[in-house]
Amino acid sequence: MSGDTKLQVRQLVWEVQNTLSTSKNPSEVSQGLLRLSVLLPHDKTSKNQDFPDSELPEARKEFSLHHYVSFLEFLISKLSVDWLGRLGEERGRELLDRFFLDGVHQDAFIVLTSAVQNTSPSYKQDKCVSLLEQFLTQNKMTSMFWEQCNTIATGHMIQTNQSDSRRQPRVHNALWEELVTILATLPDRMANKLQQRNRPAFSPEQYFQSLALSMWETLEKVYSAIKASQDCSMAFLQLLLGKLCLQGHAGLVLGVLLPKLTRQTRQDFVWQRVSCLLLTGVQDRCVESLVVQLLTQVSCAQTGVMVSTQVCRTGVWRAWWCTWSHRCHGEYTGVQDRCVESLVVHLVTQVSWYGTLSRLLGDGVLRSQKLKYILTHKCLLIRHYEQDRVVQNIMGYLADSPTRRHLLIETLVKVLEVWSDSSAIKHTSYDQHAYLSKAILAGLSHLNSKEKQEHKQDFIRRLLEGVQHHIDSPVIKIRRLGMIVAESVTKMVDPDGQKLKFEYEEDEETSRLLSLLMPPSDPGDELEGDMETEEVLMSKTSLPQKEGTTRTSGQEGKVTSSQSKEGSDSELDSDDDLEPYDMPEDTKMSKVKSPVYIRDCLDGLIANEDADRVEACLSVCEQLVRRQPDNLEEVCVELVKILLHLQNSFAIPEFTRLRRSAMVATTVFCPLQVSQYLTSEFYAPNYTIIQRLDMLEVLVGAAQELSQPMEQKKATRPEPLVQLLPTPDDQSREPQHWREVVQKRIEKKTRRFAKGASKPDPTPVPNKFHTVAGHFFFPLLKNYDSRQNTLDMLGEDTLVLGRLVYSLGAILYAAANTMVARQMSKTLLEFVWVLRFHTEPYVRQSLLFAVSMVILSVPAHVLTSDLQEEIFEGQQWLQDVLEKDTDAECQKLAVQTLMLLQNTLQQELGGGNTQQ
Amino acid sequence: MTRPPPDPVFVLRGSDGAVNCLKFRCHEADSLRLLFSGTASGKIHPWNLQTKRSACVLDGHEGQGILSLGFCDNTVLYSQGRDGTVALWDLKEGRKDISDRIPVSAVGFCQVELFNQSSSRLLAAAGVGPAEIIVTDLQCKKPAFSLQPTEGSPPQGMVMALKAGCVSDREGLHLWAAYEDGSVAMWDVKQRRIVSHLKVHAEPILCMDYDQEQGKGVTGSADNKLAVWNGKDGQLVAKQTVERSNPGLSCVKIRDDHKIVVTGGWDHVIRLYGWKKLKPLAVLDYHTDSVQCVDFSDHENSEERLLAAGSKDQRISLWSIYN
Repeated sequence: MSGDTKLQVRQLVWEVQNTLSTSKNPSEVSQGLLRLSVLLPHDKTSKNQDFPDSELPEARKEFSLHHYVSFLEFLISKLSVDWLGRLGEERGRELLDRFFLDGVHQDAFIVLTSAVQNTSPSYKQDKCVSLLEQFLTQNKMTSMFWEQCNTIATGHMIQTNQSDSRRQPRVHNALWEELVTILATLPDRMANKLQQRNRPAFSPEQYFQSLALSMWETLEKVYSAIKASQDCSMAFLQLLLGKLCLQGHAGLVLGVLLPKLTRQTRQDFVWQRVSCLLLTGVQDRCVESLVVQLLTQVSCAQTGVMVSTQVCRTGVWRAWWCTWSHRCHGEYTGVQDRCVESLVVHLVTQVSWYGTLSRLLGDGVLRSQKLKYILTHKCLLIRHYEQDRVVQNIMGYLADSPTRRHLLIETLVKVLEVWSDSSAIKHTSYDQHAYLSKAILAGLSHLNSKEKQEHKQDFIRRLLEGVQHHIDSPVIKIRRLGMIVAESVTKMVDPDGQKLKFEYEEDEETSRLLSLLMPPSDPGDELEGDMETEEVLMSKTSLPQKEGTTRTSGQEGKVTSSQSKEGSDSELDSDDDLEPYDMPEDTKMSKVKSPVYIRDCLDGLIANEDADRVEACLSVCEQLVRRQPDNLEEVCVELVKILLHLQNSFAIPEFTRLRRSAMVATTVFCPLQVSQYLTSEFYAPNYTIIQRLDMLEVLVGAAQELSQPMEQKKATRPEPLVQLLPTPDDQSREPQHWREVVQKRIEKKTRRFAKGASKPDPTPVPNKFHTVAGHFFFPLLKNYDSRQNTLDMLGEDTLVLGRLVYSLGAILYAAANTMVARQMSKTLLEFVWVLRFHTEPYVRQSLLFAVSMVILSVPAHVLTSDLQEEIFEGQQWLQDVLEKDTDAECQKLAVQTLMLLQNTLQQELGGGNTQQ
Repeated sequence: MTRPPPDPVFVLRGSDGAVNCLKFRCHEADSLRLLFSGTASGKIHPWNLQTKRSACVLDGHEGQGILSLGFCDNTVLYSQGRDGTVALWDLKEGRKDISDRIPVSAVGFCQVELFNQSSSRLLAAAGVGPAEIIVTDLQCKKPAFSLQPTEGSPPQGMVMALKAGCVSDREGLHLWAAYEDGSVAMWDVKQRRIVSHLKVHAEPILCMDYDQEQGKGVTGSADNKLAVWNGKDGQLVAKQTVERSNPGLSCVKIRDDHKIVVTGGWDHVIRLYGWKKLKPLAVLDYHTDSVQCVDFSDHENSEERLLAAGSKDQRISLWSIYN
């Protein structure tokens, strides 16, 4: 009988094809189509003439298996304006569309896309595109996915007890691979093919969102099927999701799926299993029934939830088999692993709370080596992310279940080890390092007291080692990181023991770091809010509604603004009728008189016990010096010495600034003496590092101030004022400066013809730094390689060395355009050459800075003549840094310096050419 | 156009201690116009504003400093001394006798506040317990009730200043109390509970005044801020603060016409601000030590109105400004 049916179907198809290709009568054509449409799998309306009811299912199956694809291809080949004209009426066209939309979905989909792909712009292509569009908009995707879920399930049902269980999936595999590839690349394909004529439905955003929605609807169906104890498979969805993630569309797809999954998995056990399966087992079709049955029993006993065996088989345990199937299907492993990575990365960045992640992933990390590697190694140690929630999610996920806790400890120790490593500190970027610190803090927050006790020694040992390395670092932020982590670790791990306490500046970043010490709580209600916005996003098409909402919000805005206006009205009538008197400056009251003479000030600064006096003296010291008393030269060195040794023992506000500006002022007015003193003291023993840095800072500050073309007015000796004899009509009797008077007379007799504001030329002022520049510079280079107990610049005091090089560069820049600059640059370049392979990035940065300062401060022709050799070598070194240096900041500086150098040289050489 | 601030119209010397408190009595046109001052040595001087002399000295607190002065009615002056009593002085027909003494247990510097509730006259003073306010009935001279916040909850510390008034006609009497922890609490006297509480300063509050008409209050504290807060609608809301470079505000007073607020501080100067927006109006620099108290006279004719300031340097300066 089945043979008969087959023959019958074949005959019918052949007849209809014949009719369609030859007949010119519309009714005949539509009649033929109608006859065949009976065989469509979802057809219910048409009357059945050719087959008895009993044979119909078999005939339909035969048709969809063997004739459907070729018939569709035949139809497409026939599509043309002419031929469609024969169908004539609307009904005929609908009938035609039905063959595409109500047939076997996956076949129709593939045929349509390949048709679009293979045709050139024509009516045929247009028709295919609109059919495809209808396919998408009429939600055929969902039923297509659902079919996939069902077919494989029935396949499994039949085969569970047979040994050749892999045959059927393999047949599907080729089809699925093709389908999934088309699904994941459809927007690209359409955009490529259609160019300008592309439809909005195929724009990536809309397409993937609708795809995700279809996936979601399918998942809902799967869920209800599982609840009804029916078998179904999610292998296709896994495959599709993996492919989508791999293609980089995970953001769009998960953006739709994740909030929904989060909401559903909160309460529902079955949903948790569904999502766990969807996300962890990406391809899985080898289920050994025996073991599954066994494990299923365990699962049911444990959870006590009435879930059928099928639920569990499609649930968590399949994920366990994922690893096993890796081995079975060696050829998929690569694909699968890549999918896992892009999927997991998106998950950890998008999930807002670790509990959700835990529900979504289950215990996957214990089963999949790959997942474990990605979560505990790659995401923590190799990559780094902006969002704090990544580390919170990973650490929280590891800590969330007792079975995973050993991984938390393991990971924490590993991260701490990398964090403590001195070479890692030196060679990784700051962001990466801060990320590690965040991971440590987030991990600490999940430790319980027992674990703390057990691993206390281990943590503390590693920590102390690392803190030492951090505090040695010349980068302030790294030092601060070390302090924060050290404080937190000692506080968390050993609350009763000794604690470390550091002083550091608190800002947004520190508070952000410290906030990680509290494990985040479940943002339950917020999520609901997210959902709503999500839904609004989904219903983008309902434009009128949207307009309505915006209008109302606008009205509200107006109302509030008018209210606020009313509120402020009462404030408007103010104290204007009361006219204020003169007000003296609101000066700080001090108990002691501030000194007027520089020697008094000196005495005051030495008076250690009297806080008020020291404060008063320090605050006026700069003003006193700037008044340039006659005896300043006598006391300048002594003053600087006192200031240099002054400690902030009374917590005077702005101590650092006052002290520094007083020293700079002294150096500005007595540059020779003070610079000699400071440069010789710089290499003297018995100074702290901070004092040495202060010396450098003062020298640089004074050099900059000296080189600036500012007229230094002598406040103490004002020039005589002129009092004009009062003229009868002149009201003003203000004394005037004689220069102004003269200038006014000149102005009166000057006629100007040009319009516009006449800008006076800046008055030239001699560079005061010129004569003393050498004294600031050369002594500092004298014995940088000498080694003392308190200063070992080529050894561990890299901070001082770096600052020294910076300062030399800055002093050189201040001395730009002076005669001595040429000599200074040569010396500086030689100095840089010696240190160019220093291991500390901070020093290398300062060297690069110094080189750029040389380029900026020396005339370009000198670079090409006197310094040619050094510059050439320097250029090669810069190239080298650019290509090989590990520090990003160094590379950036090298690029800038190189650009600067090339610009300067180009200008110089180009300018020379034009002159010739 | 600028103008220099005025000089004091008169300076009253002759107190033998730092001037702690001042009180004018000038509203009656026919009787003598007097300014009462209380000193740290426990004496009260009634200064005759015509002759600028004090005819006599009232000494009733055993040499302990006077904390505050006020009038129960036209002829009865009360003075709070550090000896732990409030003395009522009968000044009728030239008499100057103590008619009554009411014990006040507190040891702090909080000035007592006199107010009427229904028919009885009540006196609020800082209590012995932490953050406690004891209200005494003037007739029977017995503590009527006490207001104390629940254990452990803010406000905490000693009561530093008290002020009574009505928020609106509908609601009953309210008492504003300033505390050592820098916060202000609004008490509902009838229900004996805190209606609202606001942390205004970082340091202890030293002085407070409240403007019933606009529902705004002002506090000065040991830090360098003068803070204005809103007490309307049963909710204390911080409104504005003015910062100064020197810390310590020992007294603040709003003029009766709600236009000017005057402050005196540890930096020896008297400052005047416009009350609406705290626009700085004048800085009166006369005293050589911290200004302890300020008061505006209650002349019926506003042209004659005076501002008096008493200082630790034992002098009282009188100013005529913005009349």
